[in-house]
Amino acid sequence: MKIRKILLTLLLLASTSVIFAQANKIEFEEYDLDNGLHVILHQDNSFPLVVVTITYHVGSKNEKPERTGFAHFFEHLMFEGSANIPRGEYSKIVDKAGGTLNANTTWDRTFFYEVLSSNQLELGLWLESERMLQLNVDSIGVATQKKVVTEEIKEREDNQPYMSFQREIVKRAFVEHPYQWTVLGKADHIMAATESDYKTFYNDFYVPNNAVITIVGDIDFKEAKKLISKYYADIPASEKEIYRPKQIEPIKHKEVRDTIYDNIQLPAVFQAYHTPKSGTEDYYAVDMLAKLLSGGESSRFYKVLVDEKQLAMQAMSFPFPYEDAGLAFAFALPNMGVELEDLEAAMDLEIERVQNELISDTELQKLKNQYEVNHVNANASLESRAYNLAINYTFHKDANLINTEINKYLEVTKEDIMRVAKEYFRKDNRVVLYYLPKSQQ
Amino acid sequence: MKNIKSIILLILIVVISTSMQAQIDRSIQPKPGPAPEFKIGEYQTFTLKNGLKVIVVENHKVPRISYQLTVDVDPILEKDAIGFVAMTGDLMRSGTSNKSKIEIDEAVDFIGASFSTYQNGMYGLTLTKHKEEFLGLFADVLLNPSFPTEEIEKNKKQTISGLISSKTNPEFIAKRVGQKLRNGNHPYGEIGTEETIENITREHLVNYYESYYKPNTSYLVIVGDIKLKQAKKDAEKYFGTWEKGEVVKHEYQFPNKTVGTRVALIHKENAVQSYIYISYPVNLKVGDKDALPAALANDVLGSGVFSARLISNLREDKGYTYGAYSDLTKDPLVGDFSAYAQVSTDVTDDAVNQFIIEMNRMKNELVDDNTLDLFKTVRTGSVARSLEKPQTIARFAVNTMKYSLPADYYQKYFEAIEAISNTEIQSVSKKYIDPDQAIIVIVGDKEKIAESIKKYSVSGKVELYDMYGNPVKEDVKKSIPEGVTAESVIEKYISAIGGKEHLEKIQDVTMEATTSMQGMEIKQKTYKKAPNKYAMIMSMNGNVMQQQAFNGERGIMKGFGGEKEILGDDLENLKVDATLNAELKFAELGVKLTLESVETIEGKDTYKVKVVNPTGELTYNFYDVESGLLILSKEIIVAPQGEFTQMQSFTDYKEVEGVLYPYTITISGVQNLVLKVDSISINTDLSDDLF
Repeated sequence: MKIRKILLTLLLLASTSVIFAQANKIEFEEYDLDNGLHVILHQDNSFPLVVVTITYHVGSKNEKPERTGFAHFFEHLMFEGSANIPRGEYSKIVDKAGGTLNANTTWDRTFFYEVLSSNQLELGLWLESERMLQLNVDSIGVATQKKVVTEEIKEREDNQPYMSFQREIVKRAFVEHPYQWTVLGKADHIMAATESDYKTFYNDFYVPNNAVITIVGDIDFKEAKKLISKYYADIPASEKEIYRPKQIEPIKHKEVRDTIYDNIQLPAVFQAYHTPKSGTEDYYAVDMLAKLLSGGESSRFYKVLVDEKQLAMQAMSFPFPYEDAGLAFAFALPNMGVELEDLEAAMDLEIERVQNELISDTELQKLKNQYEVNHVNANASLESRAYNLAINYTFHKDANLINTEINKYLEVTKEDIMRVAKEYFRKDNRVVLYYLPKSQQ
Repeated sequence: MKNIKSIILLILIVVISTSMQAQIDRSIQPKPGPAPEFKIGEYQTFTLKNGLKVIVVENHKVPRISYQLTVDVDPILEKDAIGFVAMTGDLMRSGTSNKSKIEIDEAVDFIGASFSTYQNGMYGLTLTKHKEEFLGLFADVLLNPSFPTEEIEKNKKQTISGLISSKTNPEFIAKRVGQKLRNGNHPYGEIGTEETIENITREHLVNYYESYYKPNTSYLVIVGDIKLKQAKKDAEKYFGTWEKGEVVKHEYQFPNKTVGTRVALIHKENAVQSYIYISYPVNLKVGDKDALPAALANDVLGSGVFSARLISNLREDKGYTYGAYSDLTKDPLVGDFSAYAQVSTDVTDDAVNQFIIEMNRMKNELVDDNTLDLFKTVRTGSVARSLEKPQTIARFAVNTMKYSLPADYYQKYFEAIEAISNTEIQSVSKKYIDPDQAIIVIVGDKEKIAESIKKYSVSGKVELYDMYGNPVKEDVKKSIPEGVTAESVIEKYISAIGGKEHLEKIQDVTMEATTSMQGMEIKQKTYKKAPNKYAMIMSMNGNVMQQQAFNGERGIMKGFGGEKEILGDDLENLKVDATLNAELKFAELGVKLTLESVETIEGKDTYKVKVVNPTGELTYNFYDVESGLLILSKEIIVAPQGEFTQMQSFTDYKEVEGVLYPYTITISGVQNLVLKVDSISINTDLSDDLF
């Protein structure tokens, strides 16, 4: 009996992975320039577009504690101009070429991209090379971006109900690691930044040996390689070792619990469990556990908390995949008249269920089917392929995870899910925040 | 020999590498290669016997298929049950005559599909290999929805909770109030409130579904990994039995145009930013002669690219905001123009000014050729990029059908954009971009911004609204009569509640009151004893929830978190608050009073007195000019996140032993609470142990 069941599972796994190998394999080429810039090329000539991305391996965790938010602020400065591109022209050049561009910053990396028609590849490479080699920021630009970023912090965190949760959770979850502050950081840190801060940050992190470039779309490999060499080969590498925080967050054995009074109408409960960092074996099981709890309307949180017990208006669980650590968030917004204690108890009960009972085969198959769909969707557009290749290389030095990561999910067993639930979803391994309206203070 | 060769080689290498270096002149922006051709993908259409129009866009790159069904009917007036049309859509997948909601959820999630239903439509995405299961569910939901009563009640509860949690979301409030004000009596002006949601019944949903969900007024769009032949077979199999029927048409008058700018303000106490939302209705449909030039004009003004005027002025030049944009929305009935940004409170005035300046510039100046060319390229580039997605082709197909566009409308799109001149841009701007017919809705702190934004209103008045767009009565500033001082106001108050003599006879007071919080009844008992002892007990179902006691020197607070000593400023404030008949002893207690103004509160003129405790704690008390009674008290709470206001209004004064006490206390701030006094007893010889 047992053997047959295992065989069946193996067959199921095999058949699904085979489908991927055939239908969705993303072929790519990769190499390093002498200055350390890592290049990844993927060709898809079915539509005349090209996506150029550069990922710098720097995020808020590389900041000094008195300059939080600096990495994100610096991302804004990268649009200011270069030795050959006057202030305000950078985006305009892309606009004029009929393309689009943007950037974003996380705890661990800063990502820039341009999407252009394929005859404009050289333009994209020139633009990115200019700001890698010779960014130029004047005092007007700095002053303006300081104001813009301050408004961004207000708009995203301060003037939005509940949106301070990230800030409030991480400052309690991390005592050693720089993940204790958020990507947006503190407005007064940004206002206090000086010219030497920009110069040091730029010279330390915005160097080819700390970057990955991906070119995806309607390209010719030979031509693309020639252009990359033309614009990037002579950009000097940094001699210094690149600063990566070494702090290790100690393992937690005591629950942290607090109440935040915010400008809100309805209370809410947030939990955050310490979990393994992205890419580790247990990470995939933890991710799957989060999906079990809140992926879709038949997920356990939704079904029990929202539908059956009607305790919550909304309930979800989502992992934060940091490079050096992990946090799995659980969040619920109660329905009118529901006490937070009751809601939290119901959330805990659902986690205890996973700790004490193996999930069913059907539920496991459901999760795997959902990952299969995610995998297909994640690689559907040129932009997402360019992003996934870049990120997989930046953090795991394995761009091919774009094709193989799905297998890590498909290999997760019911026992793995139960094990990670027990190991990481402990009450003494979490931060719990109650959000209450100001008026109850 | 050997040596020479290697030297030559070396020289060659040097030459090559230097010449390579020399090739790059970084100051020259690379020229584009020959422009590639962006082809608009093919689509096919067919109509079922029941009138269902089907559009198919084949795309076999990724093994997935999407299905989108749109019920194309006129909007209806929902009157006192606003929200039922949306709820009908939302609840389509909450149960059918064959399956419960849980079964549907399970089945959808099992195949990893996404499936949502919403106002007049539904959408789903499935892997090709799960197509049959998916279509079975999709068709069942479309043809046999059962609208279970318990799902309706649940959805109402969630919608109401959602509305309440959005009360502090400035964007949500501004956009909804703007929508209501600009559309007037048109169905588009209807916005749901807690009350209208409460009024929705199952009949509303069933009637709406039965009257309007018909194949002959619907489109089904299939996009992805499927062949036309298969799509036809599937459509017949799954939707062929859907019965056609007569659907009522509705016609409405176009909303009245606003003559002269209006300014509407929704007060958000101590907001750190103001949300500015400038909008008005426009008459513009897809395919209209003006549609493309007007869209391009709006791009120049307020699209997301950094070259657009609003963002380059308000963000890149002035740093007022993280983003400032405008939209020009086409609609078969009533379209709209809107421009919006969330800006720092202190620059609200100039931000509005800049919006108006930029809007007027569009009307009054010709856009120069370079700018126009830039935005043409941006638009064609963005449309060209969107052609990568098969959904774009599907949208083109639907529009072509729905608006009876020429078959080659989209094929000629790029040419049509190219042909637009700057005089054309100016003439459509005059028609569609006009601050003079706009309603400027602002969600922000009235105290800080109302004065400065008055000038933008043609009437010179700022109209005040609540979050649902209902008018709020305006305060009229009146001057303080000669001879009236803070002290005289307090004296009048003391004599109004019974006079010094009566008050001084009081040795202790016991008050019992009831309130309800989230449906639960809470009892509050308060004790005060001369000179300054105070105790308060809050309980629910006989269980003590919170307790406070102050014996004149030491203060204790007990609650869920255990016992806590009251210290620092809190203790100092308590010393003042606990004092029996504190009004008689303000000077002695070190409380500073200032008479600020005469303000109208709920139709009554009041004296506004600023009360500052020795700790600096700030309260504003409002005393009725006529009766002398205290009717409102506003306390300013300073927290790390900013300042917040807590209000208590006092009504229903009744006499106890010659002294008037308010029997209803309404507490409001971020949450509302009504405290009803059940009894007040005086001089019952309270024991000191209570404190």
